[in-house]
Amino acid sequence: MTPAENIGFVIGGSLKEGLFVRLTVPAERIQEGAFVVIESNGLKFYGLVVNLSLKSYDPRYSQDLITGRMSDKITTLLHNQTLFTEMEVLPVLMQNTGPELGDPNYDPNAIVDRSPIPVKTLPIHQAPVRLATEFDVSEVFKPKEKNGFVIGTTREQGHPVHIDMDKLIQRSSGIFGATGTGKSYLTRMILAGLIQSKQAAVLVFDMHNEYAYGDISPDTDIKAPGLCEKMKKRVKSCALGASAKIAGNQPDFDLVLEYSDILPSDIEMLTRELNLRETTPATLSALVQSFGLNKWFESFKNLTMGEGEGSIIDWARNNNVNEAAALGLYNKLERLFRLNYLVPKLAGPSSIVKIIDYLKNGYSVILSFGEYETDLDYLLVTNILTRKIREEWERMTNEYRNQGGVKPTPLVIALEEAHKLLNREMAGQTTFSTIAREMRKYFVTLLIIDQRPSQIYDEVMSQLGTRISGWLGDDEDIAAVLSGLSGRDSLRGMLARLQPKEEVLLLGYGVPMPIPIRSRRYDAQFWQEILSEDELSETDRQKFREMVFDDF
Amino acid sequence: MPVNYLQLQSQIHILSDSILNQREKGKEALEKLTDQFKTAASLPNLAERVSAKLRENRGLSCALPRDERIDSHISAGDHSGEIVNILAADGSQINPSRHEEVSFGLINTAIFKMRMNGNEAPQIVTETKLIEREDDSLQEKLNNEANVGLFRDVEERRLLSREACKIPQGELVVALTDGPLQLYYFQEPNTTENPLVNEYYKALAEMSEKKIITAGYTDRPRSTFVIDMLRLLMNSDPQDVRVKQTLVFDSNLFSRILLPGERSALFKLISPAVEQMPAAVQISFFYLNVGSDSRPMITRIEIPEWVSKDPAAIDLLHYSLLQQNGFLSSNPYPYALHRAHECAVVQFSEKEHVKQLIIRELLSRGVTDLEKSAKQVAKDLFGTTYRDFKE
Amino acid sequence: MTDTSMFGRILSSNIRECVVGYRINESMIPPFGSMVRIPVSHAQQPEIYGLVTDIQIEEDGFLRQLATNDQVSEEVMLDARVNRNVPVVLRILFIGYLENGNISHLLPPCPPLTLDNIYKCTNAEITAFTSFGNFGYIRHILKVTNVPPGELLAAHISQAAKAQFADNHFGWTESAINEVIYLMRDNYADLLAILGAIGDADISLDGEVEEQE
Ligand SMILES: Nc1ncnc2c1ncn2[C@@H]1O[C@H](COP(=O)(O)OP(=O)(O)OP(=O)(O)O)[C@@H](O)[C@H]1O
Ligand SMILES: [Mg+2]
Repeated sequence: MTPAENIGFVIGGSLKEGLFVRLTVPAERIQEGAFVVIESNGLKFYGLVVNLSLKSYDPRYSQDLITGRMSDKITTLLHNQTLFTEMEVLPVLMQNTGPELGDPNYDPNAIVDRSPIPVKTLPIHQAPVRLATEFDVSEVFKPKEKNGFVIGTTREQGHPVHIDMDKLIQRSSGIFGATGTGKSYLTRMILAGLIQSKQAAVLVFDMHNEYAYGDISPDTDIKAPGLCEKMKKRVKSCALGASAKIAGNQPDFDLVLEYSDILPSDIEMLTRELNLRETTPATLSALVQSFGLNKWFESFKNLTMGEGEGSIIDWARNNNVNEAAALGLYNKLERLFRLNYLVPKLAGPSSIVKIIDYLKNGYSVILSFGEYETDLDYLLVTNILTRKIREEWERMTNEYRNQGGVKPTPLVIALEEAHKLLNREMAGQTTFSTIAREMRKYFVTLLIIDQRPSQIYDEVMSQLGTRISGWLGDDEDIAAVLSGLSGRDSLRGMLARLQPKEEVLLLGYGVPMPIPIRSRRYDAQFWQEILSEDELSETDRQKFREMVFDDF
Repeated sequence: MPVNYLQLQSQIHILSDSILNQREKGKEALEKLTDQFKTAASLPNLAERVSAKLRENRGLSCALPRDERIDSHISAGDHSGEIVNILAADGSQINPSRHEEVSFGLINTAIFKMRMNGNEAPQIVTETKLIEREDDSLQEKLNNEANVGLFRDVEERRLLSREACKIPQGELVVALTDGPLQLYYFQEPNTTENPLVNEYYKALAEMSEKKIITAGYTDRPRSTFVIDMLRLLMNSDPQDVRVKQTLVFDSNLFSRILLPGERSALFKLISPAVEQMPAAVQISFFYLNVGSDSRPMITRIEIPEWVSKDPAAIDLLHYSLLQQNGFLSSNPYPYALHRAHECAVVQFSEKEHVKQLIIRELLSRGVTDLEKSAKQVAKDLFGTTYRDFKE
Repeated sequence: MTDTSMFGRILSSNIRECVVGYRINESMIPPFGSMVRIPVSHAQQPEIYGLVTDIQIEEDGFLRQLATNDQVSEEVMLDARVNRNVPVVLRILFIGYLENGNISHLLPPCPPLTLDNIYKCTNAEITAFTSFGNFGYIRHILKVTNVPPGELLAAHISQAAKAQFADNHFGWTESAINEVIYLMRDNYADLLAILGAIGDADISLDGEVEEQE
């Protein structure tokens, strides 16, 4: 490795404020967010450029325009020494490199712990500063085990940046960015990486039908392939509704729900969607009381308008329920009664069970909503499905713990438009917030994809390990993405100045340090690279699972 | 020094009275002399009359008229554009001093040569001679300042002659020295056998042979040769003649007669000293007004016999002198002579340098008893405020 | 300059500078800012290097007369130009010395005692002295008080640049200017004046670069 060129030297700073570095190269060569390395007395500090300011030795050197009064050469010499750029660096990590080879203190037998740790001290004055080399980038970002995924490259020099897949699925993660910033493309790549590495099964709630068979980019008119097309063996496509198609493609199977799948809590969750009254919970519990948990929905549907036996009014009177409330609820539930994907009883096996079986066996499933595009569909289906999954994974985990059975397959649920399910109002009622908060113990985590992170319940946000964010314009969204992280002030500006579609910022517990990157391009080359990666053997896979979740 | 100014006051008054009185007398005398000069000029056979008077009064110095009327005032012809070599000689001396670590005398002689209308930079020739006390041949002669002065005069003349004779035959040469042509230090008639004096005459004789125009230039002369002649003529009492009238000089008289640029008639210089000199170097002179209308300035020009007999030479000399003075018109003096003087002057620093060179040489030859004093010299030099280097 | 006739004498001297009187031909006067060498006759003493910081032609009545005259012949003009020695006072700022063959940019340990010869430095001497160390001697120049430091510096850099250039030392000028900027950047007004003077001296930085290529 050739020694990297120094770009400046440390002139001051503190752990609180960060480091001040005087640049010795033109300012335009350095960008905000650049990944820099400072070596000082056997320690290597890794940091981020968080600010650049133009300074002068004396204000008059910058205020007076002397060009023309002196030869260009002399002017240049003068400016080189009196005008300079000060760079603020947020030191994030440090690494013990030990004494150099020629150093008298060098001990070939000494064991030096070289893993980067959060900064606890500072480099010395005038320590040289340089841009991170490819080696430095991989030192910090590339996991030691073979479960890294190249998510993009550094912006200045294009060194590959890895994310640690273990960490990505150990906790729930989030991908954010305003609309059109590349969330879905990025998610597709990450999921591809995840699926290819066989580290987890993935369930995608594909609200806009883009993951299974791809879509045509509205910007470039280029067809971007979907996961089912490229990874047919591992990914099953599933469409909501009997014999529905996904963008003209025949899915592997379809999802139809039985009335018995619907619980009163599923209805309560739709309060806003269906504009339900406060009396609803009382009415629902009366219904369950009268007809039982499995039958209440079907039975209620079968009640009739008007009066007399079998009518709603009759039922209400008999069960001490306000007649108007019962009638009102019935009217509101009409929307559900008419849904095609809800049937009283399926002839064959339950498609929910089918999905769960696939997932349990390590297959990934992409559930496309097809023409059911309303929030009602999305909320209802994801909630019911997730609830069932949760029950199953809890059961499997308990079994595994108590009776030493097979360890459940780690599962990642990818959730587009997550704020619909995880907003402050809903969070208490859906299964998702529970998953986000505690399901990692049960091998289920979420991958939240959203354009309005500020709408997501902050308790959920704060649980997110890895956060990947594209450009965000809204201050509240920015604040939400950065919630619970240090160095927020410096990262804020960086987020607001990302290049849409091109760049994202990696941050959170899942990454060793925040870093803005140029995201990997989702194209033919990507697929070529991803599919040629050596597949892990089954034993590797098992070993890997133990490693990921052996911290509890 | 405390001066008793109170006591001086009355004396100053008396002094001023006396000066005014003398001036008044001088003016009267000049008026009278001017009248006498004009009368004398119109006398027939004036030269013979003066000669007769001189025979009666041997041992006197005075002017003897030659062919021109004595009240003539003559302008110079125009020689502009002619190539004329102007040479001037001057020398300076350092007298041996017993107080120095090494005692040495030094004579520095400079010849300044300019070729008028030749469009060349003038040339300077300098010769420097050490005169050491222990020098056998000169020991006797150089034991006083006067003799060093004589040596200097001889060197000037010798060099002037040598340089003038180098100029190709046929070119015009005017060779000048400062002061009278007669040897100033040559006072005792019985030193004719002095080899230095003979060398002086030899040099003049060489110039005579080559017909080189040469002259001695005396600035602000205080001579009274013409007035003495008048007194000799007018006053029959020789006793009275011997009383020098110091208040009026020839220059006062001629400043009334000569317009700017004009010269007087030529006179032969009669004096006991000149009579001792070889025939070829008998001296004649004329006065020349080198001043302006507002400020006449009379100088005396001495020429040797061969020049005085050549009117063309006198005219060229006359012209050249006016031209030379013109270069320094605010304070008229021949340019070439001024430059020769400048070049000849030995600066104090130069003298010190020469001394150091001698000391160094002695040191290198193992003269140890000088070492201490040599160091002393260095110490003296350092931090001492000497006179300014302009000398 | 090996002309031994160029002897003057110290009018005064101290550790920083000396004033020397001369009567020399105009063509022999070392120009302003030029580097001179003062070998001292005593073996214990170092050879002092200095810069001519001032040249004063003393009042000369004779020249004044010539100047006021209306008729001046060609010969007199030539004489004045070629032959006449003018009384000159040189002021020399010390910038370092040479002792036992070693250059130092410190002030000399003692001032010169007798000054019987002063030499213009040769290109080799200028190059050796100015390349030695890291421009330490420039601090002496910047502290000069009798002339604007910028003018002196410009004259010096201009002379030294030519010497360095002749010796194929490219980049010297740039380094020298850099050093000046480094030393003077606290003082905006003076630095600009100095750089202005250097600029006016038309020292070729370009030429050096071109030659390099
Ligand atoms: N990694 C990438 N490789 C290639 N093109 C990309 C990439 N990221 C984004 N793009 C381009 O940007 C467009 C928008 O990307 P994408 O659909 O992923 O945005 P989004 O953030 O999901 O937007 P929305 O919130 O509207 O769903 C794509 O159509 C594609 O042209
Ligand atoms: Mg999208």
